[in-house]
Amino acid sequence: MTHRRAIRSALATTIVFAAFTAASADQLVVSKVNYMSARLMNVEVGQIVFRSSDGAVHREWLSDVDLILIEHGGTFDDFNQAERMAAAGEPDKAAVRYERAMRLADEAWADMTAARLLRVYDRSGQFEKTAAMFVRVAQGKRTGPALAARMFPHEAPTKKDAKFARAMETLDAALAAEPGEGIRVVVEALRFEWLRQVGDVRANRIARGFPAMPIPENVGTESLYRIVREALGVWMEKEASPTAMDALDASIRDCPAANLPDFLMLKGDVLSRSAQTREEMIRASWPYLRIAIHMADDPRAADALFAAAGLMQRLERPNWAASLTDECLAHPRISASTKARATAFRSDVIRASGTP
Amino acid sequence: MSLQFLRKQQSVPRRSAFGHMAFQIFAILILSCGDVLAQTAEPVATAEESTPAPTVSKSRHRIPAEESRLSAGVFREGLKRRGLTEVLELHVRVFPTNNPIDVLLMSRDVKLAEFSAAGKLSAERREAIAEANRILQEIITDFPDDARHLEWQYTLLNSFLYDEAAPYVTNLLAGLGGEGDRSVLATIAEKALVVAREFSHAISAEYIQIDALPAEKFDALERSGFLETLDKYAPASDYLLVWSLFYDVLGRRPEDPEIAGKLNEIVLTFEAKPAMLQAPHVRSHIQVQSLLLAGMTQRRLNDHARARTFLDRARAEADNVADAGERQRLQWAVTLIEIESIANERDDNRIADAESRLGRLRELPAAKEKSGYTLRLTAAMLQRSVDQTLATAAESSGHADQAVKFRDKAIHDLSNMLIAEPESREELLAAVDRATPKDADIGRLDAIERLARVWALTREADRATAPSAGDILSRAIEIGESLVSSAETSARDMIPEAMFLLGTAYFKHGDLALAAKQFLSLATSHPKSDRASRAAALATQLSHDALNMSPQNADLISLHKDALKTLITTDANSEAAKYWRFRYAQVLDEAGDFSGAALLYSQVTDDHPQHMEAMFRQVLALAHQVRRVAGESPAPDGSASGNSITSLVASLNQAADAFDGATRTQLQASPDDARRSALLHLVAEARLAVAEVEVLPSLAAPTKAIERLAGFESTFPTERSLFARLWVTRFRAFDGLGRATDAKKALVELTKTDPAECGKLLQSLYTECVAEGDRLHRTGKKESATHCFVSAALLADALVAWAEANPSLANKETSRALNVQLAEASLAAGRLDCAKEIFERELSRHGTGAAALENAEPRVLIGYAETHFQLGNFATALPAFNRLATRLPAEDATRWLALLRDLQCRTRLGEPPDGILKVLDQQRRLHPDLGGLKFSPQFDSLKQENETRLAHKS
Repeated sequence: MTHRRAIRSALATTIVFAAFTAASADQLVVSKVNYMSARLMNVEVGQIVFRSSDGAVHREWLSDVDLILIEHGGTFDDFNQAERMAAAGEPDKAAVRYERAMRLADEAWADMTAARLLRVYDRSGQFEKTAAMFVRVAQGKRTGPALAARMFPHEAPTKKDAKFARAMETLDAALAAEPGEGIRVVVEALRFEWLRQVGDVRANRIARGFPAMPIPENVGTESLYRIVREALGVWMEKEASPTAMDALDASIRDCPAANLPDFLMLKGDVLSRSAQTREEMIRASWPYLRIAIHMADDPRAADALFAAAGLMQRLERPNWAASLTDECLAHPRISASTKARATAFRSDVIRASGTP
Repeated sequence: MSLQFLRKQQSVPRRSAFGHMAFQIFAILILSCGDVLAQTAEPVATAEESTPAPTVSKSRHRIPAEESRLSAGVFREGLKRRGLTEVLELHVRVFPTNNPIDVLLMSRDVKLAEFSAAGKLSAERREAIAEANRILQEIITDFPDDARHLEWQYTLLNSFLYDEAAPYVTNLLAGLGGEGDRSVLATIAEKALVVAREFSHAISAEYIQIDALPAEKFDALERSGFLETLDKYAPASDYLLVWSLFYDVLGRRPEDPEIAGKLNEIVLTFEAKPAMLQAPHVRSHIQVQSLLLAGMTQRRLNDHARARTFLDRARAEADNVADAGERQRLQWAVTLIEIESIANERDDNRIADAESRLGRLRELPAAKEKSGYTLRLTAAMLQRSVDQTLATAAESSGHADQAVKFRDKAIHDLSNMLIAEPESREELLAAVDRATPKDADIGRLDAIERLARVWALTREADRATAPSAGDILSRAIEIGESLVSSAETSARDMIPEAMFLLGTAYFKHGDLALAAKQFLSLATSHPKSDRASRAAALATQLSHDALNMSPQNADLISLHKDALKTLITTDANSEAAKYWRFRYAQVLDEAGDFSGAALLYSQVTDDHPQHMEAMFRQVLALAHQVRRVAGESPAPDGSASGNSITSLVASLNQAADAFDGATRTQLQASPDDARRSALLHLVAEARLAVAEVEVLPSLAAPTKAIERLAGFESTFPTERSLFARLWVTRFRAFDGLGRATDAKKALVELTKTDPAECGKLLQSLYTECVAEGDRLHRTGKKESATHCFVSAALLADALVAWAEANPSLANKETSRALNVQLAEASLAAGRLDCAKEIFERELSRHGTGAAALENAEPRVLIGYAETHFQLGNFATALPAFNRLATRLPAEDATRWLALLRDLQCRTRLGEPPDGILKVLDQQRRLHPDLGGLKFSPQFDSLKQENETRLAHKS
């Protein structure tokens, strides 16, 4: 260890100590809830631990934290200023301050700052740096893949330029380092998503394997499963191999409740496409009807009812088709396009069956 | 509840009125037990959504993930609620539970869902409930030690009596049932009675066991609530037993010896359990029903006085019920009390009382409601039974006239209902047929019974397989024909219905033509019957189908046309008429009634599948009509003729514009390729048809035609089959305008289209042109005639060119004939040099000099001679004319032309006139008419000329 590094390490330890033991009257805003006079205590596996003014200890995902202000003399000036700038919608300026703060921070603060940096890079559309910071967050001891799975970039590249290529190289390098399951899955997910966005054929190749990867429980966020659903859609567009079906079933089993209707819709679509016999058509209707029955308030329930009605019509059950279409049309969250299609379909069913 | 119990099972699921009996008792007694199956039938224990499995493994699962993640029970309940029975059934089959009882209960659940499903046919629903009960019976038998045994028995008993048996019991008690109802009910009642007795015994046995229990066990049982449940079941078992016994009686034929025993058992049960009859209804909620049952039992035991007593008491107790809800629930019993009372008075020969009670029954508010048809029918059937009783009594006492009167009256009410409420006729006919013994002699049946039998046989045939279906229909036809031809007064009102059923029977028997005739006969002879409209539509459809099988059959063609006419003229606004109007228009079109067809085509509505084709055909029909009018009565001056053609042309233009507009709209709507192509074809053909009319000489609108057809080839590049007609029309237009060069170009283009078709077209045009030239020439319109001949020459030219370009289509002989035709046309058009060249060439084929004149065919010879005559070469022409004049027979017009020209040549050449006059005199003597009107004046003129010459010479 060089002398300079030794000094930096000692300084960082001091700051951490100061922050986690002496910090008082900090301020946090988490999911729009403002905690004044809070006391920041620690950062653990992507979560920030703090005590609010009423003495309660809170543990919140860093991805949900809107603002962190540390009241400790001038030590955290850069960090605090970065937070204020980020909150004020100035991600580029915030990034400069975060970077400066991170240079002086130890592991815990550096990891936390990396997560904050990821947020502002994403907002400013710097994909190369976003990729690097995403990998950094996924690999960080105090952050890790669970937090990365909650911080998938919102912005996505639209063209394949040199910066995009470098961003992909960063992700490729992270995968080449043979990371653990969690890191592998989140990095692969981001790779797929970005390649898909720019229309790169490599996305198709990733889609044929990535959804079958094991997804650790703490990584299985809504964001991640949204990407898994996209990938499965690409994979199963032309083939519904047993492996793909297994992957779809695994997602249906493990995904958060919010993702379930999407996966069930996909399953219904896949089964409908290949259904030839009466039994196959009925089986194909089950995922749709599951949505309509178990998730009746979900906006996709109307689509599911309409899809099930189509299958009933194929089964030559016009009365069922008509009543399911009626239920679809009566759904309070039906989309305009589904409404138009269902209305037309309803007329066809009536004409075909000769019943009013 | 008014009279729901009297209705047949409807598609909307509901418990029968007898279900209410149970409901009334047990809603109070055993509320918690009433929904036993609803609780036990839950297929999967977890009703709540399970949480996502916290696993990272991705091992292959045999069961789809959603099955482990989401509750099967909730899912199945959702499917059941939506009536998706087939979907539910497969789910139950694919994902059975491990508990065999649960498996069976789930299967039963599926069947119950089918029974409750809206839109199911009655027969399917009946099968479903029967199967559900069979499954529950199996559970009871196979799992006798299950704690739910009593609940299952109770549920099964209720289901037997109030679900499965209800429709048959309803029919039988209302007097609308028959052997079929009785037979099915017997089977159900037998099972119900067994269960009722077992249920009763089981409860007794439980009580005995409980009595023997030590105090602590008794207390434990009491705390478990079992005793309370048992106390609730006990009175239910008695009540269900007596109704089971009564159902068993209803299911037996009247002569069954078992009946008395069963009825007496009901009486004894009531005696043993007097509370059922005596406990005030306000407390027991079963007193009115029990008194009714007791009354019904006594009537069937022929103790009419006791029956009357029980029924009167039942009525009085029902009247005493103050609670509105309870009164509503008892409505079925009140109605049944009235029905049973009428039957009791009738059976007791107290006809006046029966009539009086019938009046009361008809006055019930429910009987006057629109939905009260079944009650009205019940009253009519009871009236009929009273009248039949009177008729039988009159016959027995030797009053045959009175008996006939009563028998006619026995039909009267039903006949009136048949006409007044036609929408319910099937219910009436089914009830009458059920009440008629199946083995009765047809000759002894009255008109309504025969009508009902025809109806029933046609239905029976639907269910039967060949050849028995054919035999059944033959029987229906035999009865139907006898009824239709019947002279009975009572049958008169039923004739339209009989004709309709007979037509139906013919149709089902495969005699389409006979069926169509029957329906047509009904529509024309009974136009005010409610069946007339449907009959006209059926006559049209069936005659059309029959015609498809024998398209040349003149009788069928006539029948179809008559049917169409009847439908369109008598029921013009019906849906059927709207549909068939297009076909009728086609029939008229094919028969040449273009104006009638055009009118009907114009009336085809825009929602008709062939609306566009109708618009198109209207244009064609009007075009045909214009051509016909123009051809039949051309204007004297050759221009547009008269008002009729003017208005026709206006209609044609209007129709064409409308069609153009409609197709534009359709084409803008981006139809598929096939539709677009079909539409474009229609547009092209319509446009051409109008242009063809516009170039008619009598319309004289060639400029319009040219404009109409401008850019036709580029607008309709794929319509090559129309191009020949296109160029012909253009040729006519240019020719009409005197634009010879354009006309000639048109002919050149014409020859580039379909060569085979082109030859025929050109020749047809040529013939037409020459004929028109001749006509004009005859009528003294020399100038117009010459124009025609010039056009004909153009066409002849084109034909020769066509023959040269298509040697495969025109052989040498044809080609030569076309050349001769060209020479003739040239001669007529005054193109003498051309004519001379061709004729001389043709003549030279036969040698020179006399040999050529000897061997040449008359057509060539006369042309050659006439050409030289026209050119003033009389000396050259004379030998040829002479040759023809001396060789051809007198009947040949050419001979007379040749003779005339021969003598004219001689005159021009200055031959002695006396010789010429001598020949003329000689010919006059031999042939006084001298070649007819065409030549005679010219011979006279020639004679005069030569006489003048002779005079000068002298």
